[in-house]
Amino acid sequence: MPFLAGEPTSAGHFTLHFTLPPEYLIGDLWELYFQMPEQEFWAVDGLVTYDDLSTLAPDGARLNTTGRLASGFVSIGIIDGFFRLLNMAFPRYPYIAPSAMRAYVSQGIIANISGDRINLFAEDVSQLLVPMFVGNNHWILAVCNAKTMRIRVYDSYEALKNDKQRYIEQLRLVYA
Amino acid sequence: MMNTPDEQWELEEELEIPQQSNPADSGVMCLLNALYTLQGTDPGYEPEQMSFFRRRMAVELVAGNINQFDFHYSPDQEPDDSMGMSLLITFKSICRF
Repeated sequence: MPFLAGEPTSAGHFTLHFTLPPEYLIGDLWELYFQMPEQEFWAVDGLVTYDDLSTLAPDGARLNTTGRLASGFVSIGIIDGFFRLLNMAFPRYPYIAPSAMRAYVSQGIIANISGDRINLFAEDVSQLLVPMFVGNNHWILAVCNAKTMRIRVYDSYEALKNDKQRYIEQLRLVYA
Repeated sequence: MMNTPDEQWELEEELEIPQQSNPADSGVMCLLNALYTLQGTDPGYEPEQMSFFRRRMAVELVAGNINQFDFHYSPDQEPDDSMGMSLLITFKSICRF
């Protein structure tokens, strides 16, 4: 069952239905996550490796530790680490980490497992910031307003404008 | 709240944001959009300034504090080409390589 699905409406908007993964699946993924090999560098309270940092190199062509060229596409470790910084700077606005294994919404509680925000009730949250990995190496930002039930998409590549149906299909693939 | 499938969410696109000039900057722009959204201000950056913001984000991540820098582009603080490499060398020393 897809985590996030959508279908176009006549008004040009997309109606989304959230179906969240079961908790046992999150737990399994969480266990898998901790079986990853030890990383080289820890920043904030998350994992940011030297290879992650090399993806921030402006020219996008620095050697990383594996001897390959960094492509310039920002890695998920950078997205995650920077959102942790945002979470510290703006503690009233929770976010869902890009990896579903680290945060999820369940039973009315927004739980950021890696942090200390586990007792934040969904009713108290006005906005969720969700960085989403869409398609090939493309990041967009979805700002979910829980009160108006609107998801505002910040897409720097105009994917919605160019090909809406393909965009929604990509969302389905990512969260299926 | 969000885990009831019957409730309908509406998707809308924010059109008034800068568009990337190369295929690799979407992640940086995603982070900048998040920052400006949280600050409640309009995105105040240009696609040509991404090298500046990339360096700045790298420094913030290593420092572990987002408040010590103003995230607005400043030509005076634009580092030269050698600074990117020196930053990475610094990272490498921190990483105990």
